[in-house]
Amino acid sequence: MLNIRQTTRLFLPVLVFAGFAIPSISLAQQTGDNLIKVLHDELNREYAVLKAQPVAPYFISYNLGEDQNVTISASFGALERSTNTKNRTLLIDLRVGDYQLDNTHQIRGGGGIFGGGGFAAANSRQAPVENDPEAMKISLWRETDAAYKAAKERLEQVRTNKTVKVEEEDTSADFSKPVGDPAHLYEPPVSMDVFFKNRDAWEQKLRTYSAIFRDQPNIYEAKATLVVSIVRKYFVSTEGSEMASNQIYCRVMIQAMTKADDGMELPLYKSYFAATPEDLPSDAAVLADAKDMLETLQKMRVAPLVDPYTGPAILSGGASGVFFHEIFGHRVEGHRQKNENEGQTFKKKIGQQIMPKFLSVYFDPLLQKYAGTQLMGCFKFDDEGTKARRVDVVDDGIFKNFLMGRSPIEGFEESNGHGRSSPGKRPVARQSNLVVTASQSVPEDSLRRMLITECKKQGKPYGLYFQQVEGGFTLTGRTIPNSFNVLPILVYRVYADGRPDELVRGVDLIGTPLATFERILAASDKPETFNGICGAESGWVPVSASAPSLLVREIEVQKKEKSQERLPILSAPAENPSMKIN
Amino acid sequence: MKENMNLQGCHCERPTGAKQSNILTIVPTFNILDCFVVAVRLLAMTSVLFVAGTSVAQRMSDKTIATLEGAMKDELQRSKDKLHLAGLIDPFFVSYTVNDNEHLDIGASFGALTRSSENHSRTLNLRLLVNNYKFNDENFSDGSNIFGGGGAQIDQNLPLDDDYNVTRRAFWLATDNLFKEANETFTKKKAALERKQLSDEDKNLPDFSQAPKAEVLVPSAQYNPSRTALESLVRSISNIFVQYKQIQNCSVTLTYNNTYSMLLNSEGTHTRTPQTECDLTVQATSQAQDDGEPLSLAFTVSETSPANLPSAEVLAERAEKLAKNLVALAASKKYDDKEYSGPVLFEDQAETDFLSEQIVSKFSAKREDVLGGGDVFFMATSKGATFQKKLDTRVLPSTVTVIDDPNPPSEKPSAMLTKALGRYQIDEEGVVPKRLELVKDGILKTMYMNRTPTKEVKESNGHARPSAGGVDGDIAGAGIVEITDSKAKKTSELRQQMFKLAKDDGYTFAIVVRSMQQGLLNFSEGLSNVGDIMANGKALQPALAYKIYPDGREELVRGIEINFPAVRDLKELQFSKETSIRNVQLAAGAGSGLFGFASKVPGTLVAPNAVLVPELEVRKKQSQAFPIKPIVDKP
Repeated sequence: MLNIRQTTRLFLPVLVFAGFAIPSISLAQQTGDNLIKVLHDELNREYAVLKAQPVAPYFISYNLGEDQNVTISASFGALERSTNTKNRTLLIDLRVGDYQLDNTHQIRGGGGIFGGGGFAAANSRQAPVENDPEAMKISLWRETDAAYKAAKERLEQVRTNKTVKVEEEDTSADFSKPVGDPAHLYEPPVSMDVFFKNRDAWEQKLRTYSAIFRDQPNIYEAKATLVVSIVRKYFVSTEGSEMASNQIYCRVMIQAMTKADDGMELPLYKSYFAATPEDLPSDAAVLADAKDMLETLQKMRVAPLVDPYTGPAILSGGASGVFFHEIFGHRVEGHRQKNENEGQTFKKKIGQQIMPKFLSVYFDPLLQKYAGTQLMGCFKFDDEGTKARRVDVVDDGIFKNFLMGRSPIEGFEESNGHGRSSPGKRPVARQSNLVVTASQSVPEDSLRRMLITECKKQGKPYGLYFQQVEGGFTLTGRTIPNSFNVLPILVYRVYADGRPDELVRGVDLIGTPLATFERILAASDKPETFNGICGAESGWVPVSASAPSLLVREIEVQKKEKSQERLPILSAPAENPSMKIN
Repeated sequence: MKENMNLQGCHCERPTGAKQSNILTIVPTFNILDCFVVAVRLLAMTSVLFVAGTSVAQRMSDKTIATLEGAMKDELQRSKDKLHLAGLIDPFFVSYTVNDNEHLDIGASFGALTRSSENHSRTLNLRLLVNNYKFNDENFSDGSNIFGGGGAQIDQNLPLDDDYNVTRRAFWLATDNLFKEANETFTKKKAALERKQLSDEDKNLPDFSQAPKAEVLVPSAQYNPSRTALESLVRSISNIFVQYKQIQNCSVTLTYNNTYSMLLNSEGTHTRTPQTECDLTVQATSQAQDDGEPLSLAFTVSETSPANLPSAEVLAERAEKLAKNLVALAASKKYDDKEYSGPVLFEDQAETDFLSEQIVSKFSAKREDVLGGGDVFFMATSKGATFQKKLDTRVLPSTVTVIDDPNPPSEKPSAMLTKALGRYQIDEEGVVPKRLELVKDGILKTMYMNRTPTKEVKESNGHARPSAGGVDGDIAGAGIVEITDSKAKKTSELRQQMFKLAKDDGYTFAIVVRSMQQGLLNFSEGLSNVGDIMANGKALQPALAYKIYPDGREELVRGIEINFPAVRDLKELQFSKETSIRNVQLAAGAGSGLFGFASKVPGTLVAPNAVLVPELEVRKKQSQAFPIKPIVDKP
């Protein structure tokens, strides 16, 4: 679920105006959290002086993100890496001008050699990792000063740019007014040492998982990785928000790669998410999956290459989830509709039917579990201090809404609690828990029968079954093809004449995204969830995508470009040095 | 992909060269080579006891070493015997290295840690050349890689477990990749060569020199730093800056690298060698009170281990002094617009930097790129070339001698032995270092050489050194370099001489420089000082310079730069009698790349404490608009 987005961002804030005072009973006092108080006090001190300046800020927020990370990986049964890191990043959002036009406004037309145009760069800085009030205050002071000077200078550029360029297509404000009360949330800190104790045991587990691939001459890469991530976010703003919240996930990932005789690299991945290390699947379950993966890889290595094909296909629930996340989800992130460099696929589609009537799509950061699976894209407040809420994006096939942070777009003036980022990045509208629901559905095996019927109807000897796809690059820009970005890694031919299914390799999806939605014919009654980490301009955020299996009338595939490297000249070295190697 | 690009970066800068003009170079036969075999078996304490993370002896156990070397040896043998493919040219040289690294990294600012991490890693380094010594795939770049290229070398991670099979697998795949890559490069190089008209000298210059087989096995060094104690040290030094209102930012960092390298090559060379270095850097920034010029002062202490660092009191004192100097600098007036052309005295840190950049770096030979292509990041700077083309001519005063002996005799002081950063028994290419007389009576006699021949010097003299951060791969550079002047003067006499020269030039004062801009990229400040650093390629950039009057009065001067000395200036240098031994990252090579930085290698400088340049041009730095001072008061 890797997405690389081309540009971005925008925002807004609040507080209707200048005489505004920061609430005197602060969260800091209620909870005694030292760090929140430091942030709060310094914010007030800075704001009091800066707002008396001729060019005064109308909004300041401090976003301090603490990232505690344990990463352990093993390859072919040997430990490869075992690290435990902690760092803190400070991001200051300081805005001069007003809600309508401020320093974050997009500057159109390129800049210098490094492309000075676009949206304001986030000034994120490393901050002390210790709770020393003095050091933290000095750091806040220095960075606020830098942020203020940069904001002031950029506002001038924004004003000039607006004067010299043509009218913008979207004239909405740069920052929306806050929705509801200022955020007040306090979750106690979680220390990695307490949360994750069994490092040695985990190192051993990962050795064991990855050792499944040992002694396999055709496996060129094999790795088992554990990531335990505790991201604690402190947020204070001149609108009165005060939050300290944790975002925690644990992930085990198994990956292995073989090569076909023609040099094509064939990878498979499997990952598991959980809220605590204890909730991750048992060794037996992971080992069974790893063995399956090995068997599949051995089959893939000798599987036939896919032929160029246009015809019906089924996307498994997991594959559908990734598909929706990549080609739909990223295009409904509101701020993209404003960036003049973006494709803005759905901008003019509000109120129109964009997929079959039986399908609806919503995003719900408050949803903890769906169909029995824990979801990773949960949060109570977003990274701009807006309360999280469910957003119905598609209702009975009709496009209704965008995901919004505090960067308003025409017709969508408010945030709906989806301004997200990783520490140190400026929040933009990002996905949370995506759910695709079908008001009419059929059992899985009926869907398969429908596929065969559709094949016969279209005169195709077989249809395709996409069991697993990986997120690839989603390019939503105007100057690059606005196209598919999912990478099928496990695909079968389902024969109309009843022959057994056949694994194929080298499948590359082609075509344009919008058309695909219109071609969905039916959905199964069994949803699957894909949890993942999504990367875009505001960093990596945990997300989920849940969907039923979907039958699509027509999908177009071609042969994947393959590596031209031939197989290694010598065979893999043997395990035992005394063994004779050829 | 990225890693690949980086490692390509290593090749482009692979320096070489050195010169030995009227000596006919003879490639030794194998019999002679055997005579060179050095077998230093220093297995002091054979086994290692690890008690609660504390090693009482060397940190790598015999068993670990045997496992790693077993995997290397077996795969190296198989590659030598069996790595053929119809249509491809066979490798004639393969070298495997395992670097086992313990790394400690601590940073603090204003009394609080900003980072602290400890990491163990193991990497393989692989070099594989096809065809033969005379003509192979190295020393070539076709510009297809923006970081330069030519020559095949790979760095990649190895498992941390002592696992024979997985370690060997990594060498297997890396060797296979490199073999294919080396062949592709070789083909391109051959084609490029056929298009060019080269002199016979260029054509006949071998690509890789032969070297005697060596076996040098030095035990690994202990690794048992007290992380908590070092965190306290770093924190407390950074806390000194809290009380100075004018200081806007400060950073104290400590990094400790303890690496053990095991090398085996197809020529039969086998080496094990520790490389340890601990660097403590203190940096603080402020702004000038009158024009807002951003100001930065820094110093770095480099030693072989944290235990060898100066005491906490001494470090605190130096940090305090730095803080006071910075405050004084912030209060000082900008240098007036008069140009000064007269004597300049370099002392303290500035003198070490001067000797490193202006003299020692110029002994590094580098092979010329005769095929073009080159590396797009190479930008000519006015720093000037190395001494490569000046062999057997005078480059320093006739009273000056420069010796480099990386493995000095035991009667030398301990600062030149166990505590010397520049001490080594075997170089990065498995060649035993020679004692070099670089300059005799002011005449340049030879250059630092690795195994890439240059027109001037064709054989390695065991000076392939690890460059700091690995930016340039292994570079020809210094070990323990000793500069002596038989006519050195007492510092007091040197000063009298300086005032006399100044008076002759019509000045009532002379200029003393005590600290240079350190060229530390300011990542935490969003690279705000890139411009300043690029200025390093144009002129000397003093950080602390004074007008000094015969009556002893000193006035800080801010905002000056000084023309680089030409060789004619170097021939007139005057040195102080007082000398000292300093561990320092020594510059190697003329400097290239975006910022005109020379590569740095861990070294030891034994040299006079002050150097007087009889005439240098000093001028005001081009003026520019500086950022305004902070609006809100420092908390």
